[in-house]
Amino acid sequence: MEFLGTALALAGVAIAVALSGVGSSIGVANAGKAAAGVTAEDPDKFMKCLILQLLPATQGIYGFIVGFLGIIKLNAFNGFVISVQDGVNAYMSTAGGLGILFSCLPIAIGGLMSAVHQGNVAVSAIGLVAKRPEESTKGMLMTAMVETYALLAFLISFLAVFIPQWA
Amino acid sequence: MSIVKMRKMSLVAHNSERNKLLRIFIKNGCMEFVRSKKAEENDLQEYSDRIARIESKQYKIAFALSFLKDTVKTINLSQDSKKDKLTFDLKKENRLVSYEEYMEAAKDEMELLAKISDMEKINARLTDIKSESARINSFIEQIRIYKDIAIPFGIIKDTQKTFSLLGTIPTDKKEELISKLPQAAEIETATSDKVTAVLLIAHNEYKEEITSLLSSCEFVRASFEFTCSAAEQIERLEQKLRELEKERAVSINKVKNYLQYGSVLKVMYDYYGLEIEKVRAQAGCMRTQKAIVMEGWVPVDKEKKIVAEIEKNCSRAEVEFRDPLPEEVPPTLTRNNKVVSAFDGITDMFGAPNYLERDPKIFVAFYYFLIFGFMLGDAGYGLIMAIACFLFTAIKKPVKNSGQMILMFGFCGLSTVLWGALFGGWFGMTPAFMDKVHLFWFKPLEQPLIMFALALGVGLLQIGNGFALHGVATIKQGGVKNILLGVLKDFGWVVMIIGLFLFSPSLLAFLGIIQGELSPAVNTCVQAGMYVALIGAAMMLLSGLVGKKNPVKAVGGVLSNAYGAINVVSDLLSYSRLFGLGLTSGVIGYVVNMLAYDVIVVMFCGGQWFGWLIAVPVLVIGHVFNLAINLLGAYVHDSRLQYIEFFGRFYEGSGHAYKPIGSGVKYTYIDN
Repeated sequence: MEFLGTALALAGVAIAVALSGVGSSIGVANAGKAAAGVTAEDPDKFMKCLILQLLPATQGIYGFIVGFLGIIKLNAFNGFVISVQDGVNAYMSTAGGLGILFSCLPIAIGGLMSAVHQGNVAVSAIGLVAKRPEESTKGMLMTAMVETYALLAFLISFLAVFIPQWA
Repeated sequence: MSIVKMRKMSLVAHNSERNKLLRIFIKNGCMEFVRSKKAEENDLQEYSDRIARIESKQYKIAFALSFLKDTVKTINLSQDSKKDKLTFDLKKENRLVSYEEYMEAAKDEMELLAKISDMEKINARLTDIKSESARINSFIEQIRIYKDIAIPFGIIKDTQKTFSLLGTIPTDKKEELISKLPQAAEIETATSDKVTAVLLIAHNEYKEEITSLLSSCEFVRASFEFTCSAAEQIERLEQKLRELEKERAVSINKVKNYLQYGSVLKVMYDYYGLEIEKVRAQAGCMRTQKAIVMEGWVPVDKEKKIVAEIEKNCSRAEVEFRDPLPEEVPPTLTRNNKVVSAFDGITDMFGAPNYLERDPKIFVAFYYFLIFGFMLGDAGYGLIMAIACFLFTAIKKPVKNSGQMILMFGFCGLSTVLWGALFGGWFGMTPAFMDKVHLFWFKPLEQPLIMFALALGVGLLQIGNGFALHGVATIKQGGVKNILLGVLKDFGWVVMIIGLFLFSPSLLAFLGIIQGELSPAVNTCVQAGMYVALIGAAMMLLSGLVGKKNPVKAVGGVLSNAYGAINVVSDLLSYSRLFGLGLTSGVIGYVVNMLAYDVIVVMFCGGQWFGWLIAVPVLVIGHVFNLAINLLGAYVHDSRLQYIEFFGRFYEGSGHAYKPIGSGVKYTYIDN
């Protein structure tokens, strides 16, 4: 059972990266479909649509960063050995693993939901670009509003994973 | 820096001089016409007819421009080598066009319109060719199934004793047809996937039998007008297609000759735009048979110049200026120095300030600059941005305001260099020599709480500034109530925020950011800060009492002010995005470096030189991606902080921007 803590922490890493990635991919995909439609009508609007399509992509990155920090905390690049005491390898404790798992939850869930919804707003904003391309920045701002909550979730996950001396 | 004062101009002139006057206004770019209330009495039909006439010409230019653009695209698609690619775009020409040049272009109007009608002819022919080719192609597809029947269709005729049939059946019925067919019938077939072409000749006595057999085989009869065999006909049609394609290429090549007129066309388009503006302006003026009255807004600094020019050129015009009346709403024109106006786009997107409001642009410029660098936070990226943007501006020399945005990103790049240097971030790492001499303030990844506190500090500063601006505006409105509200409520917040800043060392010590005991001087400062903050809070709460006689309502006012504080706190926490975005770019940069060096070079390639062959592209792509996505994030979130957290405190942006006659040009920049 000495790897239980490591396994739990890895579960956290996995859901942080996977769920926020799923959310981002759904959001970016939906926005991409709308963007492709608008670009088909008027190829000149491609850049504006692309920027809007990209906005829901950040949640995946946030999840990735949290996951990456989790892996660093586990010392994965060094065989998950956190410390060596009297010649015996010590791994992440169960409590530590659970801690990292819970720390990963905000960005996993917040990232998932906010990316999906941000994608929906991006779809509408792309519709706005189709009709009034000169207002595209306003569409960008509306889309960015949703991201606030992903950022807040990311901050908490980041601080919770990064600051404590998990062992 | 500020909003330019406007003067209302009223001008009476003889009709013969109205064009001269309009020319003066356009050349100086300093007259926004105001529609006269009496303009309804004008013959509006006349004006709308004139506008329609000009617009129909403008549409022709628009057609020519888009036709040229589309054709160039088609040509470029067929061109393989990059060298032969043509360029043609509908962007604004990066040069100033003088009023005279527009008028000069208009002299060749007839010639240009003739060229456009040539283009229209070419376009019509191209459309014809396209539809004819499509028609021929579909016909070829139709007769292709008869290709293997070598008999010329012209000789397939009924005789006295025989009859013949041409058509198709589904291929799976072919066996059935052949097996059941009477011996005396001649059949020729050409089989393709699904349908089989059938030519059948038989004696008349079998007619009924064969007809019923054919209908059971789902025979579809066909007849063609051509007399040769299908294969020959296909050959002929393909020849025709080749000819059409040749003609198309020739026509398209002809279009190349018109590309040189692109610039003239753009100038001409805007010439018509100016003419339409002129007619619109006149339609809104009060008129008699001989005279016209023009009214509009002129920036105060242009007044003398305008008067001088009118006196010099128009002897039969009388002009008068006055300050705006209290009930009038003049348009807003802001004028700032070059650095501040680089950030104009941010405020303009939100809305121009009201004429009587304070111009927030200088504050926006400062905070946008400050926050952008914090969010990107990597000196390497900042350097790239600054160099790229300033080089672009220096080489391209964008005229008028067209380069503002690029310049803004240049400044933001400088801000990023500044913050990046403080954070010790150079392309996601701290160079070893800087690490040694501690050439940075702190590293966000090592002391994230300092960065968090710093982000909130920036927020506190901006929010406090917002309150101060609102307070000044409220006090300026005058009246005891307004002055009390401004001083107590807005400056209460300002005092409280100053107190919080003074108090901050103790907060930082509590959070473990500052280690060890606070020095006595700092301790005094903290003590003082606490009292200052409390006084501020008391002022803010007391402002709820202002203007309320009913004690219940007064208590309600105090409570609602206390509740309002929650909003301020939530706005303040919104600045934590500075922290989040700043960390993101740093961490991704770090990951890219680690992937390239630790994983690829050291782990996979054992530190050999060839590892770098893979690592360098990874580094370049990774950092470009990181820069791109964080640039986008910083731009959007920085704007949001200005609009919601900063403007929410004090700014309405309800004014309408100054639009002098001549500002509606689309493809050129008018020199005025």
